[in-house]
Amino acid sequence: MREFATGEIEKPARYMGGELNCVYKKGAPVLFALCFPDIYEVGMSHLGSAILYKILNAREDTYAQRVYAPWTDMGARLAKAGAPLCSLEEDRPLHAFDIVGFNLSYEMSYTSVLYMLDLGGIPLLASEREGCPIVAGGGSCVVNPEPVADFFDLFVIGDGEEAAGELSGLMAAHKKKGFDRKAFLLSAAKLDGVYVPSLYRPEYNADGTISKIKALLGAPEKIQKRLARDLNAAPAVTRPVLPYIATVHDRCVLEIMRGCTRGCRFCQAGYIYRPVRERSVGALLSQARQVICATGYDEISLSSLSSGDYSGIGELAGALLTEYEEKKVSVSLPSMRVDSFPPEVAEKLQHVRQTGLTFAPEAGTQRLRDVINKNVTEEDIFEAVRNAAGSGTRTIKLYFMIGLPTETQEDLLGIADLARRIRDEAAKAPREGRRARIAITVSVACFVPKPQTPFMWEAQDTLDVLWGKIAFLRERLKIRSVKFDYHDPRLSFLEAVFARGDRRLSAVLLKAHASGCVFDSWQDCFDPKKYDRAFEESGIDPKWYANRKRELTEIFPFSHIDYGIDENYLKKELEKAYAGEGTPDCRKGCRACGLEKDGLCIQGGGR
Amino acid sequence: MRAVVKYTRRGAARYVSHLDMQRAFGRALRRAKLPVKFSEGFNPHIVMSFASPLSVGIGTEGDYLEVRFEKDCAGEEIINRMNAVLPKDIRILSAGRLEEGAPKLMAQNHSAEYELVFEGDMEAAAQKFLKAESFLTHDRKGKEIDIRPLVLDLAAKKNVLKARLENSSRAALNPAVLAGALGGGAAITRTECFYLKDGRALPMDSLERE
Repeated sequence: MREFATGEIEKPARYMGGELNCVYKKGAPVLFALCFPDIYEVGMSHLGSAILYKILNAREDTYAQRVYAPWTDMGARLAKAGAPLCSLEEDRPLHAFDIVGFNLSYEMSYTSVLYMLDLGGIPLLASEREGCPIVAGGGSCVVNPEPVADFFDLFVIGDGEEAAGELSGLMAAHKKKGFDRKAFLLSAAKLDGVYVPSLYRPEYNADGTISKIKALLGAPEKIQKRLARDLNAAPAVTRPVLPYIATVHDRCVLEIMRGCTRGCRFCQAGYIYRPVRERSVGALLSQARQVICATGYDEISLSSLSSGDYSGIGELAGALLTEYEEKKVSVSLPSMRVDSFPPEVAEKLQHVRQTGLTFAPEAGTQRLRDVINKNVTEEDIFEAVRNAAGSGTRTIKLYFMIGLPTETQEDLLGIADLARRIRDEAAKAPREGRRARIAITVSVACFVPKPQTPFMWEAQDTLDVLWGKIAFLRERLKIRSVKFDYHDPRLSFLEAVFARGDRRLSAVLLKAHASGCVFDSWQDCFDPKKYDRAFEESGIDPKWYANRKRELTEIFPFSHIDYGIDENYLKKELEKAYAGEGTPDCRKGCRACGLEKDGLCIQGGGR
Repeated sequence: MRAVVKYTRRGAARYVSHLDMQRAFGRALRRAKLPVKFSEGFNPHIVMSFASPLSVGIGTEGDYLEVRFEKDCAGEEIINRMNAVLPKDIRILSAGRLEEGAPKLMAQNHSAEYELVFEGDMEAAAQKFLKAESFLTHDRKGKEIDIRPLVLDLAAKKNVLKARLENSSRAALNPAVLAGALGGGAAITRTECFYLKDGRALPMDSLERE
C-alpha cells in the first residue's frame, strides 16, 4: 500500500516513513507500536511520543514503531483493499505488534482510537482480544480513562518515562516463558502506575451514580500516578525523527519544565502535572545543540505550561540568543515583561521580531479572575500589550472562557470591554514601520469541568446557554479591528461528557464509531448528529454527565485513579472560588494540596 | 562560490512536494555544516534554488539544485558531507562549481528525460504516437493541448517508455499528462535534466567546472 498514483490521496508522504533519524533495528523480541489517534502532522508534533520512541528504542529488547491515523482518504483505501493499518518503520500491521500504545490527550480523539484499532485488525473490546496485542493508553486523558476502559487492556497513569520500559521488559519476560494474556495483565497490574481496568468493577446506585468501585483479584485499591521526579535524569529527545512534510510543531522543542505552580482552578494540567520540575539550563543548552545538529532545524521553541515562570528563563534566553544568532536559528520566547529579563537579554530581545502576542486573561472581570484564581491583573495585561505593540507586534490574540462558575452578564460585557481597551492601548504605540492597526482576535472557549480540579463537581452550562452567550458576545464584539472566534460548544459539551464519564459511555463510542465518527476535532469531520443518535440508541442522556452539578459526596468514576491531590484540598479550593478568594503561587509557600504528603513534591512541600 | 549539485530521490522521498524538498535540502545543508550563504533581511534563508520542480509521486535519478557558498568548497567535500546527513532516499551524485556569470539553472532548463513504467506493453502506442503529426489531450487543468511537439524523443521497450520532454520556460510537458494520453497510470522517474549548448541538449552536470 505504499505506491500512490498522482493525486490519488492527499499527502502520501504521511504514510511512507523513511524520514531522517527514524530507527531501524532487527531482532528485538518486543514490538511496540506507538500510536497517535490523529494524522501524521499532529502526531509527529507530540513531544511525549518522541520521548517514548527514544526510551523504548534505547532498549535492546524493544523495537518501537510509529503509527498515525490515516486521513479518511487513506482509511477508505485501506478498508477497500482489505489491507491493515501499518507502522511507518517496518510497514508492519498493527495486529502484529506485542504492545499497541495509544496517546490519549484529547477526549475527542476516542473515536479515532477505535478507527485505528479497526483498521489495524484488532478487536475493539479488550475482552475479545485473545491472541491479539496488549492495547495500552497513556496521556492526560487517563485522569479518567473510564469511558474507554472497555477498549484498553491497561493504562499508564502519570509520567510514562519509566513505566513504558517496565511494560516492555515485562512483555519480554512473559514472551520468553510463553505468553499468557491473563498472567501478563495480572503482573502488569502490580507495576506502579499501571491500571488494568478489567480488574475493577464499578457498581451503581439507583440514581445512576457510582456506589463503589471494586478491585478484583488482588489489584490495588488505588492506582497512584507515576512521577519523573528529576527531569534532568529523564531522557530528553536529542535525535527527533525529522519529517519531510511540514508538521504542526516543525522545530526544535525544548521542554523546560513540567507542571505549574499557579493553581488556576479550571486547569487540569495545573493539577495533574504537579509538582513543578525544571530542567537545568545546562541540560537544555546541550539538548538544543544535539537537536540542531541532528535535524538542521532553524527554530527553537520552549515548551511548558508557563514558560515565564521557569526560574532560569533569563539565563536560558540569553544563552540561546547568543549561541544561535550567528547560526541563523531563531528562538521563540514566551511573551513576558521585558523587565523580568536581565538587561543584556532585554537588549537582545528588542531585536527578536515578535510575530504576535498571545495572552489568556480567561475571564473578563477581576471578580471572575479571582474566582478561577487566574492571578493576572489588568495592569499586567496592558503592560504586555504596550511592550508587544512597541516591539512591532502585528497581532494580539486573547483567550477567554465562557460558562465559568458564577459567571454573570457583567463578566461577558467585561470581555468586550477589555478587548476594546486593549485595542485602544495598542493603538497608542508609535506606528513607525507598521502599516495597519494591530489586529486583535478574541477567542472564546467553553468551560469544561475536568477531573482533579476544584471545579470537577460543577455543571457545565447547557448548550442553549452557551450558544446564547456566544451570540451575546458576537454582538458586543462588533468592534473595529477586533475579530471574534469561538470553540464549537457542541465539542465542548462532548468533552464534558467524556471527561467525567463512566464505563457505560463505551457503548456510545462504539455506536459513534460504527456510524463513521472519526477525527471529531476536525471541523470538516465532526458530525454532532451522529453522536446524538449514538446517545439515543444507547439510552444514555449526555446532559446527565455534562450539565449535572455533583454532590460533594458523590463517588466519581475515576475515584480509584490517584494523582496525589487531596480531594479535601480541591473542596477547599472550590469554597474559596465561590468566596472570590485567591490562592497564591505555591512557589511562595506550600498550600498542602496533598502532594507534599508522600514526599512527592519537591517544591519545598511541608514547609 | 556557486555550486551545481546533482541528486536522486527514491522511495519515500518521491512523495515530497517541491516546497518540502526545498526545506529538506536547507536543513541538510545546515546539518552538513557547509559554509552556505544566507540572504539578508529579517528572515534569513539559504541562497539556493532548484533547476526544475518535481511533482509529488515522481522519483528522480538526475535532478539539480544550485547553492551559494561563502567560500570555495570542493565537489567531493559537498558530496560526502551531504550524503552523510541526508535521509537514505535522497543521495548526492555529483557537485561542482557553477560559473559566476552563468544564468540560474532554472533559466537554463531545456528538456527532461523520464522513464515511465506502465502495466501493459507500450511499443505499439509509442509507434503510433511517433507517427502522428499532432496528438491532442487534456492537461492537468483540463485544457486541450497538442503534446506531440513537446515530446522530443520517445522509445518503448515492452512496458517501459523512455521519453525526453520539453521542459523550458517556453513550454513544458508534465510526464503524467503524457502517461495519461498514452495508456493511463505509470510509475514515473525523471532520469536527467538537459540544458542547451550550441544547439545540443546536454545533461546539466556538464555545467560543473573544476
